[in-house]
Amino acid sequence: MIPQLIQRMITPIPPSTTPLFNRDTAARALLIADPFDLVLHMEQVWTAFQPWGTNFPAAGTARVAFQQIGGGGQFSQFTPQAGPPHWDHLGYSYVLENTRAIQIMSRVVREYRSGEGLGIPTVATQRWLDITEVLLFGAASPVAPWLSTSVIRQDPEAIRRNSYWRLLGLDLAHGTDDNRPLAYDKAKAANTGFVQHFEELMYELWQAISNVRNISGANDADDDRIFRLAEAIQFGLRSRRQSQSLAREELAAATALGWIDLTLSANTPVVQDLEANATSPSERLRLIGQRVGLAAHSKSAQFFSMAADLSLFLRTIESGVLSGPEFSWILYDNRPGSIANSSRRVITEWGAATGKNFKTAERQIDARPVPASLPVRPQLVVSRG
Amino acid sequence: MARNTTAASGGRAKAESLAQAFLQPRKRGAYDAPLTKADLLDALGALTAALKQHEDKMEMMELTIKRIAQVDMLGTRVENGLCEIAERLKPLERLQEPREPKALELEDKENLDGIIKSLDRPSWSNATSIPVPNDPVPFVGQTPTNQGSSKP
Repeated sequence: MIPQLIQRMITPIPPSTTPLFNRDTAARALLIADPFDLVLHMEQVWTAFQPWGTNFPAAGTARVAFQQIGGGGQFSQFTPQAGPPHWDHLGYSYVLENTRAIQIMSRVVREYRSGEGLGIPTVATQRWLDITEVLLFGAASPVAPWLSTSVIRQDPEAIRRNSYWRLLGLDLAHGTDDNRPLAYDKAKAANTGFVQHFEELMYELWQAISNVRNISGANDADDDRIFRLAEAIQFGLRSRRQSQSLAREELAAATALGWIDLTLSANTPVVQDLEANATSPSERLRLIGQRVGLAAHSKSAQFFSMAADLSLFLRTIESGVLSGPEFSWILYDNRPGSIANSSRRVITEWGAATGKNFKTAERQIDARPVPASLPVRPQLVVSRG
Repeated sequence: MARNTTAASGGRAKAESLAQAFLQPRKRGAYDAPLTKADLLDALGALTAALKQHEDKMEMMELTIKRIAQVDMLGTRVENGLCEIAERLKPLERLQEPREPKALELEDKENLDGIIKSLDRPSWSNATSIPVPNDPVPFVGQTPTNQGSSKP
């Protein structure tokens, strides 16, 4: 939700042809915003999505009136139109959370809030702390960003892990802050076959990408196989999404991880206060991790690099626009309207993160069906540096 | 092993009981004449015939078992055969017209464009620092316009 909000802020609002912000001023506006404005905007994005179709609106009269208090808050004019969800797919949150950024930031918040071990935070960093506590750690707010939490489900991280498990059949590579296994409700109904289909699709797509410009000789692109694999992934994802299950959890996760994404996208005030200035998000995170004594994932660079593309890739497959082998080109061809760039990025970075090479001539993926009774080991578990 | 021993002893017992049954009427007969060579030859003949029957049955059963095993292998054989045929026909793929990618229907195209647009985001590849206001914050008793200096 956060990256998309910035994009809307730097896009001209008709009839004007001039945007109200540029990228950096939009980011600044968010970084020093009142957390309530951000939470209110999250509600506006949720309402615009109309998750339950024509059954009933996402927000009742009182909630709509509440959303319009004071003109609807600082970001109301950037509320999206109805349509697809204007937040990232759960896959985006999964790969970013695997960097361990949230646990590292929780240590940063605890250090700043409980003493002066990290120095005195500037006013901008204090505002960052306010927003972070609300968006990520459930601090009280007139509207709770985590509508999906309650006394039954108190821990936002446990809810996110539950969602990752159900939708992607994956667990995070790390345990709790002190390296113990984190207990959460692990649903029986989970897409445990996701990784297998996904990785085979990566392999097939690379074969197709390699042959896009091939005008002579054998062409190994198998549109039918690509379609079947994409369809299997789509069925799996949709089976967990019936009646918009997990949509609210996905929005909350995307907002939390989007905030982390923005925080580390540049040398923001908190990054500067933590003396972690660097040229890439993963390097900034690594330096911050060193400050608070918790190492980031050694593959953080790959996770940051693929997060946005994985989001588009999975959203496209889940949408069902790929309705036959004749449309498989959407995933790999260079023609306008395809998402080949995202596919390429995901193939490269997912392969680097998991240690699997989808670009070799020989298939490395075990294509045997996954027995339902056997738990599938998470694929992204790699050593932490 | 134990089963084989049991089966062998069972077979022997069966043969003995057959011989007994053959000899019984003579023992119970009106006269108590000793067994002649002809009687023993008859008994041996009967036993040989019974043994032959059992051997035939055994042969039949072996044949049946072999056939069942062959049926079981049939699937594998067919699969291997099809794979082989597919492999041999592979060069013919070149003769096939390349599959023409089809343009999306208008509705699907709008859906895909909508998804791409809904996830659009700025690039941060050239980002350095985000400038934020960082003026000195007054202590209690100071006014914001009187930053950095003590109250007189």
